[in-house]
Amino acid sequence: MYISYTISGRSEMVTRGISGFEGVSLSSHDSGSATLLSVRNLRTYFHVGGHPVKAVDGVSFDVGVGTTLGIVGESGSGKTVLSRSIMGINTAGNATTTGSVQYNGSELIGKTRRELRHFWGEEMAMVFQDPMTSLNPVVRIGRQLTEHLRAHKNMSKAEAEEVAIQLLTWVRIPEPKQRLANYPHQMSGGMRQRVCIAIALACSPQLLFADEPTTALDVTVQHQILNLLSQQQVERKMAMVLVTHDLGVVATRTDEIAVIYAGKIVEKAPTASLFSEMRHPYTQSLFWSIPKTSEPKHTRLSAIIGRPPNLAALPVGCSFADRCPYVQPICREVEPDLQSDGGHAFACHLPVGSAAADVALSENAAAGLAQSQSAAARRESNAGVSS
Amino acid sequence: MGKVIASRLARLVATLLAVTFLTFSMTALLPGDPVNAILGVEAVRDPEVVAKIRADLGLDDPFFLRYANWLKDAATGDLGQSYITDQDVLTTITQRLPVTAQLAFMAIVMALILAIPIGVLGAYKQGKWQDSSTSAGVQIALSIPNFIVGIFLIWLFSVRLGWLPASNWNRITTEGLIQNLKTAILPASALAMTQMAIFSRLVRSDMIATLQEDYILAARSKGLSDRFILLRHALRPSSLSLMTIVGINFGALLGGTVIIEYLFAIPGVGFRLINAIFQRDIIVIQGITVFIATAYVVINTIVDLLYAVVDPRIRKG
Repeated sequence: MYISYTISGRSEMVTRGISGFEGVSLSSHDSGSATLLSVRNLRTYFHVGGHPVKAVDGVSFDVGVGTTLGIVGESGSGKTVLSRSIMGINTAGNATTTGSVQYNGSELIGKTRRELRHFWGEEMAMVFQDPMTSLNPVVRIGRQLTEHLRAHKNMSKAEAEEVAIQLLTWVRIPEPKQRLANYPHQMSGGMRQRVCIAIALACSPQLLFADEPTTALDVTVQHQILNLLSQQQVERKMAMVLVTHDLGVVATRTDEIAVIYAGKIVEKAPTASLFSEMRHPYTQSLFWSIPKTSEPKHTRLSAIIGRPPNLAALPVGCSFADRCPYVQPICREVEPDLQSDGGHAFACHLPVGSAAADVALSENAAAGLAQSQSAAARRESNAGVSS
Repeated sequence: MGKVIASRLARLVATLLAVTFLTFSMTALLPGDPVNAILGVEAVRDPEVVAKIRADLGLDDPFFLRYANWLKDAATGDLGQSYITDQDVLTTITQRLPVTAQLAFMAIVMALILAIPIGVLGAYKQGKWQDSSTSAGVQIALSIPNFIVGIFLIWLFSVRLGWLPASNWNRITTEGLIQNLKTAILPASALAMTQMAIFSRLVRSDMIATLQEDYILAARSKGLSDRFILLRHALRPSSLSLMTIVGINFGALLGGTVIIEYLFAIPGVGFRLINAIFQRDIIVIQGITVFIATAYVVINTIVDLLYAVVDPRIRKG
């Protein structure tokens, strides 16, 4: 049931993911399903020096019971801080989190760590980015799998070990019983991430945060881990927040996607809708930066020009303006609100596909703006392919 | 395992050769003559007597021959007799080294018992009042010399409260453990003070680094209590440099408790060593040095083996 990919398989996998989205059944996304997590106007600022670093700046979204939300953004866009802020596990003493996080009706912001502890592990769990560092190197796998079971569920050591063996079987680790005595360094990266998933699933949480769960792994293992997560999510009717920088990863595995840039959501839509009509130029740039096997060999990778802005000194207006192919004077003056068009929300003055955007693009390209020229060329070649 | 022990033994022999040779050369370089100490200043004026004693002790032999002779005897277990007291060096050591070793061991254990909780607390409450107050206390403990602490302890527990004897030493073998501890607790506490300060600083700083690790955040996200995370997840990875320093300081204490031994009139090895140095009693110096160096190597071997217990990644397949 698992397709094994060769080393060159990454781009293949990605294009499959993207091109396959029309065929994906979105039945698990039930807009009428009960809301499990409701985030409103969440802000996490780090106070370093004079200016606060606005890592998360007014984010709102809902996650329904048993559904999957993808959070997509570049490195430094605030997506990791976002998921940690929702759980409340930010450890930095100089961070303040405001806004509202309602989990199953209870407000988490303002709760003490002691109170939050009853949610952590038991109600919501997290799979971290790097399984090389998120397992304690001096503690046996068995204890790392059972310690929270024993703490939350009052299990005996023997009972917890039974569960641990079951968990390791679910995440397809051979000889699970023997593995309990292993230390993390005796396992491969993919195995360790499976163990991390097993640890996260141990207490049967309702909500799983997966923070770039495959970024640190070998490409040949990434697919297996993602499939494992999706499969467990469906079987357990568990809600999942899948954080990634890779649109290809979320394309087939989510019900809804939120694209985050400079600590804000810039576009949010049901997965199919997001890919069929991208509205935000940043989402489009992300999409274009995925290499495709349909392209001729040696095609230049299309990177997004420039770097994410300094979160301590955000520009006036739209944060993406400096890198945007469609940029107009208004973008540097007025910050666009997140406007909703049905279920599809975006924060842009000149959304992709609008007549104003087309005019702006050709004007900018003519004026010699590099990102506009490459975007215009891209559009032309796309038009050529499809005709 | 056999290979490890063999290489350790080879290292021990090499260390002992180097240490005894260096000690021998140092004492040979020192100005002064053991004959002065043996005969007293009056008799030194009689050149005949002096010459006879020098010949008896082999002091006129070339340096390397003297060292070779000492080495030959030492290899057969004969560490010689003191020039001054004629006492057998091995007997001196077997009587005195256990006393110093007990003091050093008690000091290290007491220091660890205090230092680990203080260091963990400081790291956990980094920057808060619990941290700043314990850090200030540790700073004070670090800057007060042992003997001042010793004098204070004598004043408080012996003079004012009259709970414990101010000096002397009761041997376990003759007086029993309780009587022994009564005489050991004050000097050991005086020695423990500085060690406690060093150890707790080490635990605090290593612990602060460990608490930044991803696996600590991961443990927290599992809903484990802070206490459990500190003691069962963070302490072990934070204790490697502590172990190194405990090993080194334990060795250092074996030869370095002189002032406390003097203050509390304890018949330890350090006291004897200092006397021997003043009297140019090379044979005694050499014998004690051999034992201290051996203890050093043994302790550090044990520490090396303990690393593997604490960190499984160090274990060899």
